[in-house]
Amino acid sequence: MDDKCLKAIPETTYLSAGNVRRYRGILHYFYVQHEKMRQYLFPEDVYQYLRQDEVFADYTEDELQQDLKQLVEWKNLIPRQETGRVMTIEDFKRKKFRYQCTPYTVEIERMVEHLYEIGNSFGGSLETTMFDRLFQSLSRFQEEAKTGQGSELNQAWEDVYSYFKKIVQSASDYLAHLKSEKVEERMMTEAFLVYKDSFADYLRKFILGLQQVSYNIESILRNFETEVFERAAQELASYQLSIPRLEETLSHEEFVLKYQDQWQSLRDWFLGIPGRASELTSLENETTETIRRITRFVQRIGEKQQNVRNRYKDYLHLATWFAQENSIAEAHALSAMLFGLSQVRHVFADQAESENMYQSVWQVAPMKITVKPRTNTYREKRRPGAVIGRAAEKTAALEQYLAERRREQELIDSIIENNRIVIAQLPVQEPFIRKTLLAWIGKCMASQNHTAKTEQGRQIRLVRQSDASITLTCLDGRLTLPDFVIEVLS
Amino acid sequence: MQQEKILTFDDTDRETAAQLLEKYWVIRDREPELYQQIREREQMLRNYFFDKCGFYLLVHKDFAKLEKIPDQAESWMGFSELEKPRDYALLCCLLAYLENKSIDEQFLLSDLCEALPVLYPVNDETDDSEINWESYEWRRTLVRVLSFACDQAILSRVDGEIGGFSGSQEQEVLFEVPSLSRYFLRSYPKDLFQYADKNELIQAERADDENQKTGRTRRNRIYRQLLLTPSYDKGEAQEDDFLYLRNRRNRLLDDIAAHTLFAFELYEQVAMLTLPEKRVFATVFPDQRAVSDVLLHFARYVRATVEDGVNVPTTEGRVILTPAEFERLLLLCKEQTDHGWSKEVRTWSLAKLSQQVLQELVEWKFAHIEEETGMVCLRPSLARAVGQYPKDYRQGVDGHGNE
Repeated sequence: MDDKCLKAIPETTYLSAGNVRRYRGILHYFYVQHEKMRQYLFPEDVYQYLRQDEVFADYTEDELQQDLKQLVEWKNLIPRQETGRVMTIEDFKRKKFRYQCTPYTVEIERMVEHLYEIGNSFGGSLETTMFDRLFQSLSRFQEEAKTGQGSELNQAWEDVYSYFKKIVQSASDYLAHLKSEKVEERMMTEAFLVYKDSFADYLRKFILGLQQVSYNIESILRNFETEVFERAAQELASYQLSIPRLEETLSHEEFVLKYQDQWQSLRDWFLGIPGRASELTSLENETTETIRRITRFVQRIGEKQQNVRNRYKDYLHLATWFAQENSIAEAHALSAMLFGLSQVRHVFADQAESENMYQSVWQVAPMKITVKPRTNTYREKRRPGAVIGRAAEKTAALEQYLAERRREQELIDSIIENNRIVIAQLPVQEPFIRKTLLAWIGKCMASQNHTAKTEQGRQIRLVRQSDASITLTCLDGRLTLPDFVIEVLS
Repeated sequence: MQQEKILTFDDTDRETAAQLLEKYWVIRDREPELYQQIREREQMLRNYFFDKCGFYLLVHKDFAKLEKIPDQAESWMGFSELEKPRDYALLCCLLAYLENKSIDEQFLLSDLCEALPVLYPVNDETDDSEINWESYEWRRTLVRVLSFACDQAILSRVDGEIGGFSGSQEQEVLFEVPSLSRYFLRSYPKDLFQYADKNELIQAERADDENQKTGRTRRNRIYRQLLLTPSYDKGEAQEDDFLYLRNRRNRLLDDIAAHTLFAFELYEQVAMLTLPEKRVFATVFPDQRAVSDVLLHFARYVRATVEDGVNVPTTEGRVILTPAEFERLLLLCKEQTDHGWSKEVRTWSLAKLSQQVLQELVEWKFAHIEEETGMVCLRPSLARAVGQYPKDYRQGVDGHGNE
């Protein structure tokens, strides 16, 4: 007989274990949530759900923790530590675990519930095309939801939901796969270097695709009016009831509720719920984090090759050296040999007076440094010096400066015609004009309504006359710029 | 033969080179512009420092570091933030702890406190770890080491205050392992634990020198002394090294002027790189501390005794004094100038004053103490700069003002 037919299956233990009610209660909830595309649950979610039931009235959070631990042991649940760095001591201490039920568990629950057959086993990959498809089907559903009926509408919804399901499953499976220890081990090896580029590239493309499409999906979801979906849900429910079935089916209300649930989980996945980031965001973060991890691994591998080895033993060895030193002076000296100097020291001195290298410093005049007495009776006196009148020179310089400004002002005035400066029509200009105009354009661009004030206090506005490029010729070169006109407002 | 061309640095290159020399390392996040400058000049700087000093320039994505290993290690070359040998020992244990964590990994102070006693060298007598967090002294030591590690960016603090630990063991802090922690210790071609003690390590370095008695080794040795230390004394130099300095004086003058902010000065018994312009980042003598003033006055008095023939420098340019003579000279200096000293220094006992001044003299290589005899050797570099009070200062307590 085949060996595998003879092995115990730990995943089914919970069905007959001592605390079966608790285990089944927990896993059933996981399963139901799984069907609603909520893959990961926090212990507090589970706890809140269970407490609603009278049976669990005395159930404590500690008990739940134990049960979760047990279920992890039986491979019914996969714990996953929340990734990402934390900012506070508190968060670090209760670094959260989220739990996901294993495919076996889902299957067992399905079996137990007499539900459907197992679908695709978890393989998982990140396909951005699925986001595209979801977006397309969502757009179609948006159209159908307003007026559509019957099988058309049903088909549109089925498409939306099945793509969504696929995305959630494969994306989270893929990331779970990436995070598994085996993959991490493989990343550590040098063989990984060979395909890290294509790997990182794949992830990067996924992120890009995700960012491009998810925005569209999100905006559809945000703009989708509740009434429209209400109508669609009613229609869908009616359609379901119109299909003759042999077995018992849900009532109209139950169908509507089911669709609403599904819709809600879709919305939650993309938009998040208050207080918790959306799954989409966390998918994005995790992918980024994975890329970062890859980069880090690659860097570490590279460092290993450059002979940067683990120096744990070195450090401990050095610690004994230092511990044996008797004085801090010796420890400092040892530190300089091991870590290098912390700073260098030099003497501040002006030009040496002697160029004679056979002279002793004792014979050469020293640099004399004035030491200010550190007493409060001494005040540095200011040296009185003759006041030399430079009034004439100052006046002349001022005159010259003002004349220059006046000339420039006249130049500017000369290019303003009818309160406008049409740059395209300006003749050859001095460089000064170009600089001024550029400064003005810069100022105008910086303001919202494209107006600014000039140095002379004029209010100006920048107007784009046409899409063409124009050239301003100056004495020192040519400037190509958009066809701007500057209007003088006042 | 064609003369080797001296590649010159522009002002920014020189400034960048000076910063690399002065700083332990340049951390990109803290000094992005300087880091960028180094990056842009990486090749040039690397070639220069490797050729002249045998120093490696490491440019990593998070930092740049010029590994400045001295020719002769001295007490002032360490990290002044660390106060005791065990500070260093604890720092090494911290580095060992970090080594076993991955980059960016977070951990709590309480976890570290649990790990450190296991890592710390055992006491030979008690056969037990010396660390005891109950002791205020040990807690202070850890606080010093952790604050230092954070300052140096080999550890990053995410949450909580380190200082609180000295008061209470309950203080919790969240840390993270930055990538820089891996680069604090210089890299060696061999594992360091293969050396039994530090002397073996120093011997190994020297032995390497012996193996290749080329001009390059000598050049590296001389440049290290010149660039890293205040002065290079003939008395401490190896045979013929001063001959090399003399023969190459002009080349050295040009080279130092072309690549650094320093001026090269060569005298009969000492060579030194002086800084003609004070820079904020540079460690120079004199500085703002009151003890610098005392050193300047002291230099002046020593010079006076040499000029008067009371003290005659040796052929190595050293003035050798017994500790008592040294104290007497210092006392003379004090009597004449202490009216302008800071109040604190003025009230020091002679013993404290002479101990402080001596330590300072040693740290600036103005003096050293002969190991066998305990004599105080004042070195020629002490004569380079002297202090005097301003001409208009006449308000000495004892009537003595300026000359």
